[in-house]
Amino acid sequence: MTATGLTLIRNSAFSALGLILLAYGLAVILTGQPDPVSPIIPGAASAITALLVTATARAATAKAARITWDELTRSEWARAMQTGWWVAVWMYPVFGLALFTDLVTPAQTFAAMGTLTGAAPFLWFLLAWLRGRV
Amino acid sequence: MAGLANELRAHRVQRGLTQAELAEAVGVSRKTINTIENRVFVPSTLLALRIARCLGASVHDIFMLEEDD
Repeated sequence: MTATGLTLIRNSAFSALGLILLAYGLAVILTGQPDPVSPIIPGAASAITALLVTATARAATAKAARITWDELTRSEWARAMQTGWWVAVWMYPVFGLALFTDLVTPAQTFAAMGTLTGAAPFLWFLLAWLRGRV
Repeated sequence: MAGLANELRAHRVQRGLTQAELAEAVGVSRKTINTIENRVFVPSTLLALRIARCLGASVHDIFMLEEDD
């Protein structure tokens, strides 16, 4: 498999995962239920993404895998992780206030914070892909 | 603070290479070469040296500090 193919698979998988986690987190908030759909979905999607990206990288040549995670990509991934970190930090006051005002339940907060925090770096990576950076 | 200017596109074209060919020779993605040429991405010293070696030039010929305003 070429580096281009690997990159397409990784970017697609990361984007799909970010959108799934975002959709789950938003559904938790909008429906008022901590499990608006099967709670297995976020975890299963994450595991499938990890397996897919790892398996395709191992099936490709070492050079193709290195190109797929070259300096620009690692830089963008670092920025994605930084964004995810700040999103995670800001979740606490936002959901703390929502809890305090009874807008959400503790179970909802747990489900939404977990999935939205997980979604943030992958959504940032999706934006980087759309901007032609990865 | 001065930014990093570069003459990468000129050196690449002079050697008759496409972005994809240079990327393959250096071992990075074509987007990396593209974003360096467009001054969107600043490469590490190591990558700058690898690019210069592939183009048979000195890193000083390709990368330079831009003048402050």
